Amino acid sequence: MKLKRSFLALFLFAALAFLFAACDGGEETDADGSGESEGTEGSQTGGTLNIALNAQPPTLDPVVTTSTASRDTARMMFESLLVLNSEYEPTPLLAEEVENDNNQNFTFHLREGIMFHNGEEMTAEDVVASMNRWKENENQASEIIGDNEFEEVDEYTVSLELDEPSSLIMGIMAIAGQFGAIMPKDIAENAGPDGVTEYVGTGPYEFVEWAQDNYIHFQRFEDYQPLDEEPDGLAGARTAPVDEIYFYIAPDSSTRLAGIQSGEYDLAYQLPFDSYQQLMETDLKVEPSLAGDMILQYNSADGLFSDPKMRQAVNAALNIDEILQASLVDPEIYTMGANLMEDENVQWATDAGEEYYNQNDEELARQLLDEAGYDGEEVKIVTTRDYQHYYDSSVVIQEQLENLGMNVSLEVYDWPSLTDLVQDESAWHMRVNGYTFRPNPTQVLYLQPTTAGVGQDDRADELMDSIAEADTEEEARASWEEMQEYVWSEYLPGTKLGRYSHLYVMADYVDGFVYSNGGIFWNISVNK
Amino acid sequence: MQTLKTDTNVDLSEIKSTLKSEQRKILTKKIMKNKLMVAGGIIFILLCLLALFGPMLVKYDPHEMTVSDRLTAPSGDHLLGTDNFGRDLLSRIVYGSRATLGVGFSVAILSSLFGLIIGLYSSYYKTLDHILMRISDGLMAIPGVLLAIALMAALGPSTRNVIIALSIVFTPYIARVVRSVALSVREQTYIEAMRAQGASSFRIIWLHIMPNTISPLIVQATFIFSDAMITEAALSFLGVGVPAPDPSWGNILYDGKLVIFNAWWMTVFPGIMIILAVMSLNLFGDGLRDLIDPRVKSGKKIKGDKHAK
Amino acid sequence: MLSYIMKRILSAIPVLLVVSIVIFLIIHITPGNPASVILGEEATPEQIAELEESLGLNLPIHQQYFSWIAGVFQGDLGTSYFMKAPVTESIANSIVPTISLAIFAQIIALLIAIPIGVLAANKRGSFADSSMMVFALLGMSIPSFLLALLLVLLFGVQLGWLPVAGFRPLSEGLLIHLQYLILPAISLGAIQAALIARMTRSSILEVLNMNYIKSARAKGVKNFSLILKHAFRNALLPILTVVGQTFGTLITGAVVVETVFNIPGIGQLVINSIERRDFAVIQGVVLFITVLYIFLNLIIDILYGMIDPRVRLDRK
Repeated sequence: MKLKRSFLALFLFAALAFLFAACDGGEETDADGSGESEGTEGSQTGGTLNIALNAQPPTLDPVVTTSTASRDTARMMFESLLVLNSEYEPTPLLAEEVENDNNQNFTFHLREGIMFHNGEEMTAEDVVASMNRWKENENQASEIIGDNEFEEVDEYTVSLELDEPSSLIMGIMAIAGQFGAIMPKDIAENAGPDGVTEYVGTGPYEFVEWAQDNYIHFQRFEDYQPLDEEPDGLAGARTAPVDEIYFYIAPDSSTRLAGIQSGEYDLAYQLPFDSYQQLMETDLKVEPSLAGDMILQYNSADGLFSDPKMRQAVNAALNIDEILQASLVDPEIYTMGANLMEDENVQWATDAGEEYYNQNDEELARQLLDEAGYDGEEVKIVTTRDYQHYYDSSVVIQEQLENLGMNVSLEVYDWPSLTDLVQDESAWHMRVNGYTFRPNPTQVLYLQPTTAGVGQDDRADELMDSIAEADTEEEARASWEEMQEYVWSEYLPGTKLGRYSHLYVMADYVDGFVYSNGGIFWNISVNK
Repeated sequence: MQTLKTDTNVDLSEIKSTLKSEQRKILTKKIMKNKLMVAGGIIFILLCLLALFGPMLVKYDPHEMTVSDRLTAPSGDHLLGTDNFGRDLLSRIVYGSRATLGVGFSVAILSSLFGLIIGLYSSYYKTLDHILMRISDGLMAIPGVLLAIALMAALGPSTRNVIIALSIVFTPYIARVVRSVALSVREQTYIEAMRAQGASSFRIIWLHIMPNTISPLIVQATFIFSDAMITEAALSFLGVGVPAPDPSWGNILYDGKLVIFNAWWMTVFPGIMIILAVMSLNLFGDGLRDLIDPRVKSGKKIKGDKHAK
Repeated sequence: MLSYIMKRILSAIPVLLVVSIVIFLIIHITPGNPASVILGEEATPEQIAELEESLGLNLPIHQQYFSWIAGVFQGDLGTSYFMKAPVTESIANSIVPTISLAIFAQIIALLIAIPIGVLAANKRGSFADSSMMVFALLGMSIPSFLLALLLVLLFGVQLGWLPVAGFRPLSEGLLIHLQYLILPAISLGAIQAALIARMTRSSILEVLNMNYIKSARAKGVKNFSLILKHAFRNALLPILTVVGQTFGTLITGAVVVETVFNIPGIGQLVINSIERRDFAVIQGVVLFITVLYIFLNLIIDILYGMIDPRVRLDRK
């Protein structure tokens, strides 16, 4: 029968297609061999650490981006001259010592014998090329350093001269986010504006492979030379107890949650706040780490909210308890308060202005609205669901302000559209946004008129200048206390809602995790 | 059906009316015999009533939140429980039916209208046909959900834009069906004759070709209605549909997925609503098609018949 | 035959051109651009402009289109802005899970649908028949993402039997591969199963009405073996057609299901790329899926023509 044979052909075709798919799958993942290298039983070194990362980094070159996903992965392999310790003090890492002459002339003595992952030694020319690329890209650095450049003095010495003294530049050079990664000269010099594609650093782990949207693979760098000091924040000794580290990219929070529970991941990032209680009941180690402040930012630059009375009215009305309960969920993992700097940041932390925080005072709010002459104009909150807690807060804020009699609309965009949209200062009035901690107040973005939606204010400028130009730490602190008070009482470019944690969860056999400006994954060991 | 048209020159009104009432009886009988269709119709009407009048009956405002009561299980106070803001799920589902059914209905109407115009004119003018059909081939070749997602990203989030995007997605399917019916009508002798008599093309298209396309159009429109609801739900579920915090079934599912470990009710109840709406419309549409065009076997939607030439 | 294939391929070209223009235009009127996503939120407008320039995003739109489409004709879909790798490479990486999912879904659909369809036809008009058909209707009415959610809720969350999300490549073992794929595959295959069950039932019934079956029955051939030996075989053709025609929709249906289960397939790739405004990847993938879809349909039509001589391919 002719028909019969054709059916057979069809089935064969289907079977072949399946086989092809199967073979493809096989070849593709044999290459990574992720399942093979199991940890050595009971020992402190060795093994594989599987980390579930919440987002794919846009690039692994930290010099060109402020993305936190890039920061956390890139610093496995790249290092900078200075880093922040747990108290936010700039501390030498690749520099042996820094000579600071009056905050204006700096001389960096490099550590000798530091090897790049390509086997070459790091010398001054690499540092000069890397740091000059960095200062072009990092906003504050390029502002302060301007046309001056890092210069080679000898093979292990680099200098920098500023036009004017700056007490801040050391802190900026130690910044955790868009940090000055030191890489070989020719790579740094040939980098395009979207970053390098060849990842050669000096860190305790070296880059192996980046399977897009799947994983980033690092392995121990055998020639790494750790510092002698104890680990302290990002500073001190960096060691590489585990052989291999995989960052699996799992943007979906329920995937990360399920994966950490099934043992598929050893450590997971930023799990949903609603899962906190559930996770506490398991054997897993849950480490909520305060990560930043959630700010209700007002568009003080343009439109309705350029009137400080409007901002004060909203600030007076907010019931922050309710907002945080809906967005950050569990009081055990968020904190409240007026302090705008990190609590451990002893130099700056203050609760000045506390009485203006979480007032929940409808009467006062109405009165302020009257004074502002508010008459039912539409108030636009823009937000995104890509960061669920921003969205959740926005929904509650909308509801609270509506109850006050304001006419509030909520517009939801995806993240790229939103970042584009907020640049247009006529398009929005309020947004909730997260800001990671900064070492000093002049780096706090929502206090800077260069940030979209932040209006210029003479008094604020004055106070900020006096912080930057203060001669002593005490003077600077006093100015900041005054500034923070002013921020809360009148200026209000934003209302700090609360301090959120990222939920880092790991298996009980994972030891040595530290959170400091994001999770730190060197010094971690797997002891199963 | 066809016989309904023969009444033009007969004057025996009595015969006519008995004939008509008999036909009506047969039709009713046919409809009633198709129990599934009747069931579908009834469920769907109930859903529409819910969307229209339900909001008057529910106890809570869909936006009203009691944050301390977030994620409480179904109880006497909140029959279907509360969501992650402590909003009453029942009233959100009831209000959500307005968004979901509203989008489905608007899309069905809009794409029928544009599909009708495009289909009729491209059946009549050869050159236009080539251009329009290439464009609709192109649009139909892009997977509907993907096209809708891309359009939503471009247009920005609003219910109006959801309707626009979905209408763009579904219009070609209607146009295809209308065109293929219209093409066969166009070839018939009486149309030829009218053209020979010098009737305007507008008259021919709208008075003589169009009425023939209405029945298949309506059948197709019911399927578009249900497809549009599904796609709206999918878009909202992906976060690019009806803008939150307005309730729509897809939006509730979006929130529900985030707390799927904590609150089953946020997934199950809106899910049941979507299934009911889609299934009732499909049953109704299937029955309608059997009624209007018994030649078409049930079991396969006409949508996008690539070989219709 | 050959001329028919040529004709079909030629007729696909204008369609693809339209697709390419439509998708290109939609993407480029979308707010947001890859440069600002790559540089992060705190980048200055100057930095963004500089990156845009180096990515060629500042050129007039028609120029961008022509340079892209010229590449496409040479098999070069461009380079991802975000991943800095050829788009074809991204597609090659993410098509594997999608195909795996689609095939598994298809197999499940067949395994469920054919017995149901055969049984329903055999017991035509019985309670079993109508309940099976209502079940099929239910299957057709549940959007796959919803079924996915409900399955996750039941088997993942409540019972804890199966993983709720994720993907394991085949290299880690067939069993674990399937374990992760089973819920997505059922979600995706349910509509397929419903379609196929209905098709099986109606085409078997049709065959049963044919004269040779009637005469066989008159000769005393048992009903069930009749169905298996004669009717089913001849009903296979329409069934296979449905399978073929809907395989394309399976692949596209995977888009949403992959999002629910976080499977790194082609659907995830598109959605992620939209989120990152990685224009090159979005364009490339949509075009690729369209080509795949058209190609699959062509193959089905050709096979159909080879199997059934009555179907003349070159008729108008």
